[in-house]
Amino acid sequence: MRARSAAVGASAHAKSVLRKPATLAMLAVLPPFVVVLYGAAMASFPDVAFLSASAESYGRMGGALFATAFLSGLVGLFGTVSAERADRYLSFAGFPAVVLFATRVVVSVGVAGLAAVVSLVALVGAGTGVASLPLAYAVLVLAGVLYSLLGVVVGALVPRELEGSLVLVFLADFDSFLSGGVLDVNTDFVEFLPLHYPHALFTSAVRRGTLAGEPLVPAVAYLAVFVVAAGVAYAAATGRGWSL
Amino acid sequence: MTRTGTALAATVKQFARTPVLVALLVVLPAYFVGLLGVVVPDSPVVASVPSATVETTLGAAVLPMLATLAAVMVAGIAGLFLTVNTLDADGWLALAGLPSRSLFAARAAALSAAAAVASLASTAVLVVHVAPDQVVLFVASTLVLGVTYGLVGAVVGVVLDTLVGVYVMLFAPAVDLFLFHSPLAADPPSWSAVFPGRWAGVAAIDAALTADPNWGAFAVGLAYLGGAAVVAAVAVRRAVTV
Repeated sequence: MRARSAAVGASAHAKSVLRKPATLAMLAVLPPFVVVLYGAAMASFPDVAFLSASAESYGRMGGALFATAFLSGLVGLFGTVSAERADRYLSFAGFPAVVLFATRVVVSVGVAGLAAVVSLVALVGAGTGVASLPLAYAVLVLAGVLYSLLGVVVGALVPRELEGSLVLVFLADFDSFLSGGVLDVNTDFVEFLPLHYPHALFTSAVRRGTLAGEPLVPAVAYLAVFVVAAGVAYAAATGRGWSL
Repeated sequence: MTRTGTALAATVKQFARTPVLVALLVVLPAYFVGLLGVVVPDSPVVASVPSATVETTLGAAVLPMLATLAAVMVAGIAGLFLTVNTLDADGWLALAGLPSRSLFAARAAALSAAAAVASLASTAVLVVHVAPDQVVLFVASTLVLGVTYGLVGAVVGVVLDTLVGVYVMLFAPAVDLFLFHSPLAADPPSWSAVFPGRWAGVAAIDAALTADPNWGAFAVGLAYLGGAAVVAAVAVRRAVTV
């Protein structure tokens, strides 16, 4: 019964994402565009600021990470906002809230996985050598899932598309500007940004092909915190708490 | 009251009905600039603007650009959602005899008001950290760029759905101002001139960092705004009357 509920929930959430052709087109078109544009734009910055790689290559890496993360975040936000009422009715009708949330996370991982493939292909296609494709892919998926969960939190707290989009866009911009190192900020504040650790991991995976010596534990801990935060926010949004 | 006035009053009421949105128009740009003003260090940098190369601090160089960016993003997303949320109603109103020209003028006026609120909020917090050399021109340039991106958002709202539109309206201004036309960028590619930030955005940064007004960039920015208004008017009116 629980497995069937999970299958139904996952299917419904996946269909809500895939039903719109514009979303699918965005998955295919926009991440490569962002990767190329970030590379071209960053090329106008002096290379000396970025130590061991060209500014263009650095820009493409940041573009791939951010394109994957923000796309997943938006799907998380819009999915939560658009399904809020339906999920509340489902929960009211006896559908376990934990299963609904778990299926949403599964779909988020799927969206992040797709976006990561497209971004990684765009990165390689633009001419950036990737030392370890599997590791780079895993880090991109991690960034996507982090942002997807952030989108769920924002969607649960600000359950309207316009207001939620504004909040997510400003959070994402903070993250993009500060975690990527374009602005040299000498404060511990940046360590609390969702993409801070994924950025370091992704750079290492692309350049060195290993995550050894990189902050893997904090990144996973951050993911755990986001899962809990999204779960609590989602449970509150469905109005049912975690009663099973 | 004229028909445009009636439509404008309805749009303003729609904004006022959601106080969270009105609060976000003010709070988000202010918070964005305020927090970045705290965390960006005062390390020395060389900032490049068309009229000069200025030795200044990192905060003084990038905060004005970030204040402009904050206002522009709010305006762009507001333009996107304002269009998406009113297209259906405007279609019925047009069918009932309200000229689509009046409807567009009302929506554009409401959008300009939102851009003005965001521009003033971000500039007010900017002044706490770094006072632009020419505050009035800085606000005017930011407003021109904000309304331009708001109209771009309106066109995006006609062409794309909201999810894709938000994605576009995040990346377009960020790439335009934070990367291509950042005062830290030494040599942006010539084709980046197609972005509106090359004109009104550069005029705003010039106004923040130098005492010489860049009227040329401001004038082209105004012309760009006019072009964006024509394109948006055609796109929205076509969508309303179809």
